[in-house]
Amino acid sequence: MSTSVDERSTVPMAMSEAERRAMQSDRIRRIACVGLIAALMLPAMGWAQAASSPTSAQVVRVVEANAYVTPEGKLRRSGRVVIENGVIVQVGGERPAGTVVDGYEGGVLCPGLIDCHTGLGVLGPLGEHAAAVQPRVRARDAFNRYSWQLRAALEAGITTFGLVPDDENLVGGRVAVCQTASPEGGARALTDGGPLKLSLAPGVFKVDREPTSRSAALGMLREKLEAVHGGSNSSAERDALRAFAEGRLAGWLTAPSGADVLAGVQLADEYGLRLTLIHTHDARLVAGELGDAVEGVVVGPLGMMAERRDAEAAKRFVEAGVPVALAGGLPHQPADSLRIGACVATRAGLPRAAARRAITSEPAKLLGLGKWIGTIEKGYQADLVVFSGDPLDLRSRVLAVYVGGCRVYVAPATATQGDRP
Amino acid sequence: MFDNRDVMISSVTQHRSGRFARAWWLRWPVLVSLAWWLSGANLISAQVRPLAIEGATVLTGTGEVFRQGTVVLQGGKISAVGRKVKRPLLARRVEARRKYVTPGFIDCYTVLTLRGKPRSGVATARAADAFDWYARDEIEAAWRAGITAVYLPAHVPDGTGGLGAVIRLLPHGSPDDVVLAGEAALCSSVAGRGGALARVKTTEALRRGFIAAREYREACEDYEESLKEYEEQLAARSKKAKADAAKKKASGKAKGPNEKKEGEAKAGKKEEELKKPEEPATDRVNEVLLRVLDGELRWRVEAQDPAAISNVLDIAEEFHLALVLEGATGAHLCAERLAALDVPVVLWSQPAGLAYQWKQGEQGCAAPATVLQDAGVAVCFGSGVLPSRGSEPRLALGVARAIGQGFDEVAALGAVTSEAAALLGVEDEIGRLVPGNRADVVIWSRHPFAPGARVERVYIGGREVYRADGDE
Amino acid sequence: MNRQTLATRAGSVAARAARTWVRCGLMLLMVLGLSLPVSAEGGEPPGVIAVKAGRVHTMTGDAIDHGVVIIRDGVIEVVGRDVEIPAGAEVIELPDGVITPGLIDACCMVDFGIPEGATGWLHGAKPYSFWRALSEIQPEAPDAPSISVLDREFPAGPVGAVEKLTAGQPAHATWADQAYEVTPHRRVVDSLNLLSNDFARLLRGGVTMAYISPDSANVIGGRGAVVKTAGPLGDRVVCAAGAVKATMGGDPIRRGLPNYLPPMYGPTPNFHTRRPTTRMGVDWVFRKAFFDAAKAQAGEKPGGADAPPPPALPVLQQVLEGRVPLRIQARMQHDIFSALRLAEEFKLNFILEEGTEAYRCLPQLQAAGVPVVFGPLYMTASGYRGRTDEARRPRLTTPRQLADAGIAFALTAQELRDEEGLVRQAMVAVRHGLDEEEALRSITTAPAAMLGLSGKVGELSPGAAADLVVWSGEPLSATSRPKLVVVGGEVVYELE
Repeated sequence: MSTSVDERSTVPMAMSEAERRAMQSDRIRRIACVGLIAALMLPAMGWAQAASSPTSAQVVRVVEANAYVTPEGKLRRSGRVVIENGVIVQVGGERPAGTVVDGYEGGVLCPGLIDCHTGLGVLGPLGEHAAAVQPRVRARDAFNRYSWQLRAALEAGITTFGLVPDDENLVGGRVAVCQTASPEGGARALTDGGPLKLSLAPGVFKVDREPTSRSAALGMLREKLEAVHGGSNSSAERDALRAFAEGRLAGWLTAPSGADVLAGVQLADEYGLRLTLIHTHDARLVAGELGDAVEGVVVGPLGMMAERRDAEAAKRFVEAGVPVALAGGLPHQPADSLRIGACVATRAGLPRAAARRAITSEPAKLLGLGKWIGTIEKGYQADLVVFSGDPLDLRSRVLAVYVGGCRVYVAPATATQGDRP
Repeated sequence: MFDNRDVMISSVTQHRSGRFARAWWLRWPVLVSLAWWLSGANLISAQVRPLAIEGATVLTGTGEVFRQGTVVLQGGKISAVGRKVKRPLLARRVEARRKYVTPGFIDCYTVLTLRGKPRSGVATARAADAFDWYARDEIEAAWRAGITAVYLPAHVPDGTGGLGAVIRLLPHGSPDDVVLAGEAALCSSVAGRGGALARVKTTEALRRGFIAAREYREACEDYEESLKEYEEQLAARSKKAKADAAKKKASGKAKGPNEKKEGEAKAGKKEEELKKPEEPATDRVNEVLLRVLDGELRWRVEAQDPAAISNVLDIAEEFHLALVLEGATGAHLCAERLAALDVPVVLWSQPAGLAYQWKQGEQGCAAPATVLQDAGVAVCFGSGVLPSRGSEPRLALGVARAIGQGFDEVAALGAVTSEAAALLGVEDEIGRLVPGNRADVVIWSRHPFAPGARVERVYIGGREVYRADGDE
Repeated sequence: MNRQTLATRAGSVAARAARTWVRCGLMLLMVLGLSLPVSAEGGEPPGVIAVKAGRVHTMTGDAIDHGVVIIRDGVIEVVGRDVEIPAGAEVIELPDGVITPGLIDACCMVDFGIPEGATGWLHGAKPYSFWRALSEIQPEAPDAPSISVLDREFPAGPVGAVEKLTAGQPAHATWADQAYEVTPHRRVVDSLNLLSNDFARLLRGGVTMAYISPDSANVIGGRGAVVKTAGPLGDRVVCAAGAVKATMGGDPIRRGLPNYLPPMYGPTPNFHTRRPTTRMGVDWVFRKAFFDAAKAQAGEKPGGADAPPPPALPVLQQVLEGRVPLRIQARMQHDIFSALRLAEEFKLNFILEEGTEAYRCLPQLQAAGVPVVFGPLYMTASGYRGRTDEARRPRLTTPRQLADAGIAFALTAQELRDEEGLVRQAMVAVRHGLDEEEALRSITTAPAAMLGLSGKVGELSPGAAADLVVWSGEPLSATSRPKLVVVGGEVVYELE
């Protein structure tokens, strides 16, 4: 009788008695199955409930220390952060009554350090070299949450990191954002749809497949971008590449030399792309040419023996007004390489506030999580690290680490350090 | 009197005008040179005039700290250090309020400015000869890190290399000023590559080297003895011959030819052929090893693997050598033995990557410097091997990181200043801000281990060699 | 002595003392003043510049003695003898200087030292030469390492190194893409390193604009680019997609992948190695590409395993229609004839590049009306060119013969710089018979015409770009050097 086209609303005109009884018994059977499964699952859920730590995120928690790092990167006295349900609800102000308080004498609260360019905790290599353009490959699929490296990184203060495909593909895949710990315990992947990874490094050029030279590399990139604009690309690649070409998805471009940087800037201008540059050695030559064409630059990893041109790169980009994030480069670098890199950059002239931002809020923005982590501000996730002094001071160490409001690491008690000049 | 004065004045003026009028052209050069000298542009005057750095926090490197202290440099040496030090006459002042003054840091192992390595087994090759005086970029990079003196090694990948040297990073100067110790230590290394068999071979080769040196010494001593004997015998024979000749003379000349012949035959029987003992060939390599055996030269060995380290300790114990360990990432496992044998350790300030730290098995250690220090081993820091040509050493950062891992702060500054100088045997020259030491001084914008600390000025031998850009 | 005399004496003494002190003070001030740093003049460069020199070659008429060139906002406003200089203009006066328009190199190979060093290594020269070339050209290249480091980097020796290098490392070289033999859809501007020191060397030789030609590793290679050698980076590329480059002769055989190995060193050519391996093959690839393009134009689908890649077909069609220019490089007479024959078959207009034996083909070139970009001049070919064995019969008189035959030509120095650079090529051409005016035109207005930029560059006329060079004497004299180079109205080079 129904004339609607919607199939779901169609009702059978008439049912025989047998059919009705069959339907009823089916329904009973279905309910019984569901009830059985629920009966089996409830205890498990109950165990899960019981297994969650007593300091779970539901409790309102206050973390207090001597000072904290402001969103601008400066140090301000009397760091007090009130956490509720894993989110920061209050910074500074009075201590609310009836709360669990973790106090750290002489400590400094810092947002959890974010290493945006790593190969941390992966099983196998992060590059699929068979073809040059692989927008659907995801670094998330190589992530091994049981790797021992994650614990080492956590103990150095790194709470979030980006897994980046390597530099040997023109379009290498999607960056994955992961955390070294979580309120539930264990590392986890936050998102597998991070920025798109591109590269113009010499490793892109191979003997046995296209491209074999830079002209082909840039030509291929241009062809792909224009094909996506025209809508004639194969559906498999359409999503990520189209999003990138239309400026909805950020892209990270490895541009070791100044010529690569200029090529990237030109592509970004021409097609309206959102680009972040990685691994540039020629900062001295191109810092002034970027303008606002790029979203940011990732500088590093700066080891203790970094060359002068790399150490000064951060300073030059900041002076040119380009957002700068520092890369840690784990696991080829030591666990505290982010702080070492920040120190090296600071000694080469980067302002200290910019250095603190470069290891916390700027990488969060470049990974696309700028509204969620990376700053100690109301409404952000409670990912905190407590240092025994200025995070930029290599003499200070990690006292405790919080992820999502849960304290996931406490350093073993050691002799307190004296006053530092 | 009036007349006298008048005459005096006139005579003086006349005299003055006369002489000066004739040599009026002397006036200008005299005035110009006076102006130049006073303006301090003259290097010689800079040496002669003392320099006083005032108002800074002075870290002397021996553990003493002077707030608002003063350091006076004169004649290339430190003449006074303290809180209330009187500024000498004609001294140039450097206002250093809110800044820190330290002795120039000493890098206990670096390959900066080193060009070339010795061949294996040539123990006489000197690192001082491979020092590149004109590597201005690298020397400036070291100054920017506050380093004014370095130890340059002469390593080969495996086995015994050459002689390391202690160099002051002076861009110009006499060799005496620049090369503080041309032959500071013998360098060897026991590499981890090649597996256990290679390590055993290298250790055996080292041991054989020392034994061969001992044998060489014995051979030399034997030679000396036998030479002495030979000379004594020679002297005795000549004396005897003289006595016989005198007897003959005295007893008359009535001797027939037959008797003469008899006498000669008798003399011939008594005299055997006196052979001069053969001198053993001079072996410079063994002579160097002997100096090590005698404790004159230190023996510096680079060994990373704990097994290699214990092999090297065995050798040092056996031959009573003054050993210094370099690199030594596995030293924390033999900390007690190192302390017992009083072996100092030079650690690299550059930490190993995460993947490589733990690759050595479960033997990796998060804070090796602290473990060694707690066991009582003397620890110093060096830059280690540079990863690329443009790398810059950042010694202060490495030490700051060690402090963060538990290293004692007071000892940390000493590890790159006074302790390092003592390790290299040049504590009377550099490494401390005490009167009498060479004037190698660095002015920092903040405490050298604080974040953002920059080197503002570097003085070597009392002369300013580096000034940071943007510094007045 | 009376009081008066005393007073006079005292007064004179005092006066003299006062004078002495004054003079002493002045000397002190002088000494200190000499040691103070001289503050540089700040401020923005003036919009108007007037350059006065002993002689001005405008290339549009006669040379002007004691001429003045007025530049406003990067463009030449007026050139003449008695020209009023506007107020507020920055005046540059070089009374002994000679002004010419900035030189234009019509077939420049940038960063050529790197592939040269690589193939040189293969042919027995030391790998040091490769690193030497690299460090000369790349702005941030490391210093040449020792041979042992090179052994470590390239453990397979020269063969492995060349394989690694011809695959496109380092990325700053104008390598042709070798995935296909026909790549007109690729552009050399994508391989260009605008930060290379090679551009500074070009500038020092007086060259202000260069047509960058792709190298000759493909039968039909990429498209060239017209690039200014100085100025703000964003304005350097004047034309990003120029002529398509084709090559006749042995270069596509030698530099093909993996045909780079000399005979007896590499695998025998089979269908897994890349075509072409003979001159027949080169001609075949060229013919097949244009044949397929014509087929596609007619609406049919090109077939066969050796069809050019799909993106190449539209560009080849444009070449057939004459909308995109074509350049063919050929050295030997045989190859020039091949080029002429193939062009006639497909009704193509092309420009001949290099043309070492063009003197043997004068009537044919004249009849076909083919312009020639000729160069460089040499007696014995060296470097890569020397190893090709195709340049064994050069002639220094070729430019004169081309001029006499009425063939339009431009001179080029290709990869040669400094004392073998463009102006020296013109000098040698004059020495061997070419008219001076003709020589100057062949490095200024003739290449401008070939690049389609007549009236905009290559001459000093109102409305042309303000690219000029002031030489210390007549430019084609052996003793003159560029003293000042102006690009886009800004002084970019001054001889110390």
